[in-house]
Amino acid sequence: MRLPPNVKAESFSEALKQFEQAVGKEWVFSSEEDIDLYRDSYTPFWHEEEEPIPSAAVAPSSTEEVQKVVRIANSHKIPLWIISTGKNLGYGGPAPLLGGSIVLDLKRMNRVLEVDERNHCALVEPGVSYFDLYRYIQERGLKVMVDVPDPGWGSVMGNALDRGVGYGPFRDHFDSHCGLEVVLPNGELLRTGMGALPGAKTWQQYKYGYGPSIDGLFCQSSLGVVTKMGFYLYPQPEAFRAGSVTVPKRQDIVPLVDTVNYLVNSGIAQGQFQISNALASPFGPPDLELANLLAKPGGPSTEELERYGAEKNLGYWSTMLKFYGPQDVIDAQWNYAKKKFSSIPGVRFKEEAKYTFPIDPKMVEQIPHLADLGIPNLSIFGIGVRPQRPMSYGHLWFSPIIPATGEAILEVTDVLTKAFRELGVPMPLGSIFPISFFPRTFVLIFGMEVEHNVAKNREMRDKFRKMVKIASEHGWGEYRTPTAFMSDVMDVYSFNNHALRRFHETIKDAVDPNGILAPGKAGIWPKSMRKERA
Amino acid sequence: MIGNRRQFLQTGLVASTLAFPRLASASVDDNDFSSLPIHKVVVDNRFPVSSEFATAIQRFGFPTHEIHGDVSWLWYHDLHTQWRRGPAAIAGLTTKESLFCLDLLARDQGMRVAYSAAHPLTPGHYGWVDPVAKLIARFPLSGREAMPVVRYLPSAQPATPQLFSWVIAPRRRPL
Repeated sequence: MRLPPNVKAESFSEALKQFEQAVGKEWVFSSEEDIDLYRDSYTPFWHEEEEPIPSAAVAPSSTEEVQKVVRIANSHKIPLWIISTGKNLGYGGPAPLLGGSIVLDLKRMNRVLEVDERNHCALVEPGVSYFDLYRYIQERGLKVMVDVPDPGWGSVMGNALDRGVGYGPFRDHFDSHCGLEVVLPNGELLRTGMGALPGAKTWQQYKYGYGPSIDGLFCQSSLGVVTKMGFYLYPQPEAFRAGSVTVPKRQDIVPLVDTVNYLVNSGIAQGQFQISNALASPFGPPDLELANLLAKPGGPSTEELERYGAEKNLGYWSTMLKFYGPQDVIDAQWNYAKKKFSSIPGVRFKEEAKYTFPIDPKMVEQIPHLADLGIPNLSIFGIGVRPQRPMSYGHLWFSPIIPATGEAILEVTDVLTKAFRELGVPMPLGSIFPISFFPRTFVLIFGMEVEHNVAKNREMRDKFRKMVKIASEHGWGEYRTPTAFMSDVMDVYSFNNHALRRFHETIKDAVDPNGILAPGKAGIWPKSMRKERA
Repeated sequence: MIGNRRQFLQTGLVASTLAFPRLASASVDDNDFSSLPIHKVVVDNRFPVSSEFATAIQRFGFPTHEIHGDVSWLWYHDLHTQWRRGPAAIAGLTTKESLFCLDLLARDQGMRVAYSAAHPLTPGHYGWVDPVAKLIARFPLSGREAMPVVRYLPSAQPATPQLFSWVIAPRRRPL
């Protein structure tokens, strides 16, 4: 029997009995076969003792049951690891950070409590997936659009609480939330914003309520179990269109990004955009001519690459802008955008997509990127057999935040390409593509591959940690990270002798003195474990 | 829809068949699976061998459903409705990724991969199509005629692309 850390077998057995009384015997899982369900299939600890495997799992069906579970865990000082649907592949899946924790699995709490199409908002429980919410809206013909990530089978709440992202105007999912219901570590129930005012009808409309806003304390957090969460929804637009912009020179990235920033930050273009190297796809091998250029001793010159891009009619950089709204308005916005870019010599435009809402169900399967239209899907898994890439056993996302400037992208490209090369990580041309998941910044997303090989995984973990450090030395920090690296990432947010972490620890000790909720999440350890984890 | 403990558990089984060999081997015994008829056979129309396989399986009277890599709408419009009414076995010849998705979606309904096998996509070497169609048509086998289950994430990196034939079916034995 696997035990939670520092918990005796008798106490653990007694806790399991109490959990069974609280939620029903059939919803407490402690057999080895059951526990295997809560292992991370992308774990970087394959075949290693270090793999964090839980001791049990418990699955309440209501807020009241969550309160009971938390109180029992507190009385036995047993750590709980909270999951909603556990499909957070690439960032830890359903597995806890601390081996022996009990997984508090919320996927039975899967009710859409409200969708308000007049005020464009919703209230959901943790187990509601993007597919569930989309289906609820479609079945009722409601005129609202959900902002969805890739893939769409995860929890709406879980994604937002992990600071997950999507593709549309409300792609910063935590930013578009409005109102939380939280079970605190002592079992007490808290509602934030207008939810704190009994009888208020504005819980999902006005975020702040009165007094200091504390919602952020429950994001990437170990301070409570969120059991209800409100979200803003986008009114179903009349139309969507997308157009790409391609520029021919390496230095054109500077005006390209500046212009996109202007258009997006002023609301003329909406939705996520990314800056791509137009010369090569990150997902395939370069053609022979480019491969030969790249293989030159010392690498190709900028002029050679620009000439290659011109001869192949590729350009050097490209981006795609997205517009949501009335047809006349978005047509005008795209025309205005083209005018703004026209100061870049050699700029080219291409119409990429035009759709009107509601989307004809017969068309859906023909649409290449459904997430742009708020339609959850799994197409990211269907990109096909790629003989040029080996089969993967999973990946861990390295995802630092960088400034939204062309100069920063060039610097990041140089620094990371050199660092990855020195670390022996394959880094094909085009594999750095900054994405505007959050306003006014870019996120770099790079998958570090997991293998079924202890030595290689150890090496990969070491490289991941080095990349975190190298990035931080340039002022680039992760926005989110796999559980294996949470302490490493918090370590680099070190301004004024780790004032931020020390503040978090102060709050953690006050709110969760027994340290039962998600120890180590975001690198914040409870007092009882802090020394040994330092 | 999570109706009972077993379905619930399987909802959380993120890729466990591929992830944990012990579980994979646990599902080798076809006697674990109920003998519901196969509802649909899924084929990926991006691969020419799929039409050959579809023809072969249709000879046994099974309806086929073409996908183009993405299983989202097969699930959303068909399987989700079907599985709301109750478990129904499905089979297919798809990429590993499509199988991975359908496996996880099926687990929400208390089903598991009952059989899977890898087939290299070597042009002109599709002699396996008819025998595989015949094998799937006889599902579930009885007695000692256990169907093979390979972990559908290959243990060795294949030099050539692969497709996977598979059956997903309700488990007879509760966890």
